[in-house]
Amino acid sequence: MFRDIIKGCRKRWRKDQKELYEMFYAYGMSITLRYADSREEAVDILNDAFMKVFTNIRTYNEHQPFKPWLRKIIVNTAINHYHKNSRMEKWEYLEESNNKLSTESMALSGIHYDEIIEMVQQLSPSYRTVFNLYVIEGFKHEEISEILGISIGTSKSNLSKAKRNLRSLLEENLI
Amino acid sequence: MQEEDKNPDSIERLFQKKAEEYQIPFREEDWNRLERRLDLYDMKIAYRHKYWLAVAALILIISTVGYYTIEHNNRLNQLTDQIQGVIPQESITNEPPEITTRENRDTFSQQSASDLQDPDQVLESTPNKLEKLTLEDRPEFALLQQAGESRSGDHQLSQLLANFNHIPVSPASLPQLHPSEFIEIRLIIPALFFEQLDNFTYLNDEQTSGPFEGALYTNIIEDRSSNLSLGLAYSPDFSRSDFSTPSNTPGYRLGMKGEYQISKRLFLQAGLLLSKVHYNASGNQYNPPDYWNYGTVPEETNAICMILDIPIGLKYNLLNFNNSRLFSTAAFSSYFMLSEEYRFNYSTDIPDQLEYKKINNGSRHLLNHLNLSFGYEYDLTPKMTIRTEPFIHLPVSGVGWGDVRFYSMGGFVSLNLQM
Repeated sequence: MFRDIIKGCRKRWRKDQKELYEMFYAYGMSITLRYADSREEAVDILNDAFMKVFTNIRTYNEHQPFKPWLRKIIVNTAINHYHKNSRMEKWEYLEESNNKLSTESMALSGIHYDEIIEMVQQLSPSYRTVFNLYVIEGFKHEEISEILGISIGTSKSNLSKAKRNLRSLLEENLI
Repeated sequence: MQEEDKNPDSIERLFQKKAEEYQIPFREEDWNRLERRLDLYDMKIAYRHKYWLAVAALILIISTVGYYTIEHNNRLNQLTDQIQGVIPQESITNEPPEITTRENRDTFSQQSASDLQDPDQVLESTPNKLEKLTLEDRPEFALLQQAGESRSGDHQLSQLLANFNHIPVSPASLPQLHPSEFIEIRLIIPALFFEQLDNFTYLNDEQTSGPFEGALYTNIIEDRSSNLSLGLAYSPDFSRSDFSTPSNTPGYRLGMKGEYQISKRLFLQAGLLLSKVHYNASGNQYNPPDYWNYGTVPEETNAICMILDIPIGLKYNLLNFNNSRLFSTAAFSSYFMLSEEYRFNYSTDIPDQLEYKKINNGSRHLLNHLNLSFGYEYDLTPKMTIRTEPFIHLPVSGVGWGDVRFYSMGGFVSLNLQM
C-alpha cells in the first residue's frame, strides 16, 4: 500500500502525492510548528519540505523507513528557514526570568500540546531553534553550532535562556 | 549549562513528552497551497521536456543539413580528384617541353600575340582547329564539361573551377595547352569561367625568358583580401522564461561582430553586443540569492536587463551560390549584467512587500547561453555583404540576481565588411 503511494509519487501522480501529504501532515506539522512563529509559517515550512520530498522522491530508498527520511528533510528545511530569517530577526526578546518552576508543578501540569507549542513559538527564533535541536532532535551543542553557524558557547547560552523563558511562561500559565 | 547537558531537567522532559502528543487535524487549504506549487513544478518539467525536444529537433536539422553539405562536398572533391588524376603527371614537371625550343616558342608566341589577346577572334578565325580539338583529345576538359552539364548550381561549378585553378600547373607545362583550347573551355563552361580565364596571363615573347619559359601560364588566384571581416549587427530580442509566461515588449541586441576565416567554409566568430532583454518569470522560476522577501514569492517578476553579450563560436557556410550563401552558426555567449530592474507582482495585497529592485552589480555569467542560428548572406560588393540571421539563444544556466533561465529569439540584420 505505502509502496504504491511512493510509486505514484515518483510518477508525479497527484492523488498519491495528496495521500502521502495527508498521511504525514500531522507529523510534519508537529515538527514545523515548533520552529515557526505561527501556524502559517509552519505550513510554509512543511510545504517547502514536501516540495523537496516530491521532487527528490527518487532518492528515497524504499527499504528504509520513510519517517526518519521525512523528518530529516523537514528539520533541514526548518533550519534553512531559520537562516533565511535570521538576518531579518526583529524579535523583542522576552524578559529573562530567574524564577524557578518547581518540578512538582510541572509534573502535575495538565498543559495541552497547543499551549506548549504556543510557548515555544513565543521564544525568539534563535532560542527556539537551539531548544528544538537540542531538546527534541537530540543534537549536541557542537553539532548545533555547526548547523546554525554559531559558537558552542552561544548555543549553550541560547538553550539556557530558552529554558528560562519557558519556565517563566509556564509559571504564568499555571498561575 | 554543564548541569543541563548532563541531567535533562524537567523542562526538557516536559517538552519531549508533549512533543509526541500532537493531534493536528489535516487542513485541505494547506494541501491546496502545495498543489498549486506542484502544478507549477509540473509545468516547468513539461516546459523542460519541450525545450529539450526543440533542442533535439534543432540538432537534427543542423545534422541533416551538415550531412547533406558534407556529402555534397565529398562528391565535388571526388570530381576534383578525378580532374587532377587525369592531368598527366609528366606535364607537371620542371622540364620544359618541346615548345621551349626557340622556334616553337616564337611560333607560339606570335600566335599568342596575334590570336590570344582576343580569344573570340580566335574562335572566329580558327574554326578548323576547334573542329579538330575535340573533348576526347583533352579528357580533363571533358570532365569539366561533365561538371558543367551536371551542375546543380553555380556553387558546384565555382568549387570545381577553384580546385581546377589550384592544380599545380607549372608554367613550363602550359605551352602544351593550345590557345584554342582555352576557347574550348569557355565554350564548355560559360559563365563563371570567364572570370577565371581573366586570371590567365598571356606572356609576350620578352617575358618568356628565364625560368618561366613558355607562352603563357596561369596565376594561382591569390586571395588578396584579408581573412578578417567586421560587421554591425542589430536584432530585436524576444526573451521568455518559458512558454507559459506571456510575451513582453521586445528588447534589442546591437553591436559588432567579427569573424576570421579559418578554412574555405569555416569561420571563427566573436562579437560584442549590447542587449536589452525583457522577460517575465513566474515565482518558482525566480531564484534570488537571499531570503529577500520574508518568504513571500511573487506571482510574477518582470525584468529588464541591460547585458553585455560576448558570443564566441563558429560559422559554417552550408551552401554557396553565385553572390550569396546560406550559413549556420553555433556559439556560446557570456553575459555581463550591466543593470537589472525587477518589478514584482503579488497575487495578494500584502503591505510592505518589495515591488521594485534595481541592481548594478555587474555579475558575470560565462558561456551560459548556447546560440544557434541560420542565415543568408548576400554580396553587395566584393567586400561588403548583408546578412539576415534568425537565432535562438538557449540557456545553459540562470542569469542575474534572480538566477532565471531565459531563452531569446530574434533575427540579426548585419552589414559586414571584409578588411
